[in-house]
Amino acid sequence: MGSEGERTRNSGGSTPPARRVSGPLSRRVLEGAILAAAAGTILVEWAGYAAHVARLSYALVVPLLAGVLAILPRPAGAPALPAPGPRDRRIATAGLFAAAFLLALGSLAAVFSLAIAAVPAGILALAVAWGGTARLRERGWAALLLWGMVPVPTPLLDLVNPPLSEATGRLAALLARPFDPAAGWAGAELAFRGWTLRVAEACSGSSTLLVYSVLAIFLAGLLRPGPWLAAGLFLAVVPLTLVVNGTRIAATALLLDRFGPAAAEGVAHEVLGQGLVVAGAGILALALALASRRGRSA
Amino acid sequence: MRGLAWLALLLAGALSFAVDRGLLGRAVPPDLERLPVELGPLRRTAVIPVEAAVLGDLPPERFLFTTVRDEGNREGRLYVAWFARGRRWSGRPHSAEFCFAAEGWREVEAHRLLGADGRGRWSRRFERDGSAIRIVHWFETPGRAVAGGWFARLRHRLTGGGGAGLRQDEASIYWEFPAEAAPRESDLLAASEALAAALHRLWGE
Repeated sequence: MGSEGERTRNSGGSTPPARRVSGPLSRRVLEGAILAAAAGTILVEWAGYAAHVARLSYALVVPLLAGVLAILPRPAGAPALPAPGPRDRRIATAGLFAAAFLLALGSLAAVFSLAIAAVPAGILALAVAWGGTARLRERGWAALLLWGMVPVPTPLLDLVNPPLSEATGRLAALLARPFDPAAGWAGAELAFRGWTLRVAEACSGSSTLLVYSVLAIFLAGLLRPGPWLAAGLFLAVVPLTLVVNGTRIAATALLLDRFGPAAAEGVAHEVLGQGLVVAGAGILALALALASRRGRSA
Repeated sequence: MRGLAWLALLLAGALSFAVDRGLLGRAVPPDLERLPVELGPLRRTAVIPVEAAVLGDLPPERFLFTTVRDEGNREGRLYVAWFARGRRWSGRPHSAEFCFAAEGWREVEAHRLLGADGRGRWSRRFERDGSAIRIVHWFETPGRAVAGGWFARLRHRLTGGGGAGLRQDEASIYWEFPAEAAPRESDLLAASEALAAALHRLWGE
């Protein structure tokens, strides 16, 4: 349908200017409205669920970040993109069928991640219909980021969480040893100066990893590093997660020992945790910006 | 073809709406206190009080946490959690083994038990600080008391259960015993089947 708009635009002066705009635009509005209506129920559920569950709250900003990447100006001197063709229309149609299938199957089987995956699938289908696959490829980071609104299926997270928690705990114990040579990690507990700090999964598991993964995709789309730098960025996410979470746990243990249990829970604990996560995000962004600049100047 | 795709999307949206609103099968909150005291070879004894904070940010709408004993007077615990809207793959409910892992228990052995009803349940041994426990756990869903894999369950969900198949509520259940003083697994399976049958009765099936 978008391709029809392009054809109209390319057809020269025989088409009245008003029709050139309103025809495709109204059709796009209609298509967007149908997608919104079809996905409305699952979107409302997604928004409520993500807002309620701390480890998923990052997902709420993902569509906005993807939108930012989608509307970034094209690089100077970039070649003109072809108008959507028949192949693009076929791909868009397949994408719409895929979105319908995901929504229906996810709803019937009560698998939330499948149902909500219909939303990025539908949006990308529309993007192909309106702008073609060439434009979608050009906005690849935005397209990839959009999938970040889908909660990672817990069967996958459950594979990642135990080793991640174990590695985080061991690092926290290592960081705490200058203050207590006997500091140690067992199960989900840090032993420190006679205290036992039971660590919630939120402080040692995959939540931070997901936040940094989304951030890494956004930064890659924003700063457009080369493939090697982008690969380095994604590889850096895991150690950064370990360092941030390990520092968070070790710092909490120090505060617990210095100020008592109140310092290890509630607002003080939240401020410490969120502050460290934000600091880690800043480090990631700064490192990429510096590396990108060096790469351009070299 | 594109028109057909849009139609399919709209139909899927309508289905999503109908499922969400319970138009294809409304959730039935079970009165878990009415579960029988005798559950096969096990017997419910005393309710264990639970602080709300312990249940996390995805708490069940209803739950029962109780001690149980077998004929040899071995004591364990039973947890039944009912969720009005299951969101599988999204942590609600999540499998019981992850609750124990998050509490610092380390899984050292796991195997699947096959009951007389043809359904599989997990039996796992965990260890922590020199103690060991055995848990048997599974999910129970209305209209889905069938054997078989994912596809068989989906088919039953669509066609069986007298309309209960499309309900979105779900229960997560586990038995927990000290590993060295646990009932035989055949007894735990029999108790699990008795409990599942009682739960389906509470669900009006």
